[in-house]
Amino acid sequence: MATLCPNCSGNLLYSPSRHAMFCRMCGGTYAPEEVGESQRTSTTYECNIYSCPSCGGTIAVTGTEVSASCVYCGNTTVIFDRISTNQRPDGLIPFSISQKEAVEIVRKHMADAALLPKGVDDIKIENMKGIYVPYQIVSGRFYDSMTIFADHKNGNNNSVPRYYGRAGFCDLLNIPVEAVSSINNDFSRQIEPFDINDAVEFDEDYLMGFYSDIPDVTADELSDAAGKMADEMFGNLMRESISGSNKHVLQSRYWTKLYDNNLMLFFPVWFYTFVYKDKPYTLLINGQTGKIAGTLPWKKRSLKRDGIILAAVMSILLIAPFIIFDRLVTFNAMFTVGFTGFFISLICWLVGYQESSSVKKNAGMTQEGSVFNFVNERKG
Amino acid sequence: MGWSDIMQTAHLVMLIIICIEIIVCCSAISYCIMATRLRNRNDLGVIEKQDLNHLKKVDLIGNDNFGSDAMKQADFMNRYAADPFKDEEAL
Repeated sequence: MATLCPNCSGNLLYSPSRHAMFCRMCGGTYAPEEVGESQRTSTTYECNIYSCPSCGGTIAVTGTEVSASCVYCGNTTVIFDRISTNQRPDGLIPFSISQKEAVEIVRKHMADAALLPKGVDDIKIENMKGIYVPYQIVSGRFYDSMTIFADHKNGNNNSVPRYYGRAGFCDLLNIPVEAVSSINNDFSRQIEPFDINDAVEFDEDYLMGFYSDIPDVTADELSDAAGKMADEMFGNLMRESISGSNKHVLQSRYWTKLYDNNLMLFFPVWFYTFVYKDKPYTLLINGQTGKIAGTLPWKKRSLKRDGIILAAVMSILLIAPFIIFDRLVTFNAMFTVGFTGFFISLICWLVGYQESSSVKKNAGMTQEGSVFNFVNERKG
Repeated sequence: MGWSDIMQTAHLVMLIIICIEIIVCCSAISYCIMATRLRNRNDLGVIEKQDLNHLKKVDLIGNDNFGSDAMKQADFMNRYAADPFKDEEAL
């Protein structure tokens, strides 16, 4: 299945920086359509399937590449499972970001990260794996009914709540829906969008040097995912049509009917896996734009220490005047400080809780358990 | 115990309460700063707003403004609750 160099018979790999097939032995470059056997009339293609006994993830490898570690959880023992004949995708977006560029992106974010534990920033290039993730490009009909809340100002500049109802039909056109269950949809959406205008006709040669995943979502799951995205879009569109502030959808109910003419495209994604405190972490990088997703670990003890020191210093600075000028502090001043402090505390606790919940949620998706939550549920 | 003693005790109690409140407030500010710091610097993913060009030919069949009456929401949702594609699927 390997594509050989016409000049020296070395293995050709697709090079994102050259946008061409590259021979590491003689340095020759070739357009993917110039080399390899043309199988464009076929509706299938063959690849080797490897499975990970640790997380249950499977990965398809084309060509002579041998999968030595799991691209999802970093487990170093993966087992050759079978040779599989897969449905040929309609096209793919070739990798534009090379492995080195992807490593640099991760390195840059790690340099900016707060309280990064030692050793995490020791990036191993072999842990950066390029995977073509299958997406279904779906179209169909959509129906949504929703109620929306908005704040309005009256003549006295006071906030007045307003409620709206919106229901309607629309056509869905070319919505990209990730079609592999082993990656959490909320996680993969963080590296989107991909520009499908860069898609080319599928050729196995583009897969040389990369992995690919196999679409395994059912029609119902595809419809649910497309409906969820369309509901979000419809909500955004309806909110734009309403004046006021603090606009949000209160409730919605929707139905989706997808057409049968879905296109399957492979989208390029770099997976970087590393292990910290026996927990595997996965970062995703869009192989077309370089957009990154994932949450880097932090030193929890240092975070607590920094927080306590900051709180202690602020407390001392604020309490000191009350102690020093004890006799001058009136009841009115104390009541004012009391009420102000109460509201500041309330707002800070709420904002802090919101921010830390968001970090924890994303950190969960970055770690193996959540990335493979869907797979494990399916495995029962 | 004279009036001035009562006032002095009340003053002291208030002062202690204010000090505790300042500590709670500073803890909240510190928590907020630390959480925001992690969110901005360690949490790398952001879900971008969906491209609205995927929605075409939007045809509104229900377009009601309820004013401040939140109770009318349930009526609206019930009115437009039927699956519009049910008959199409049966066909």
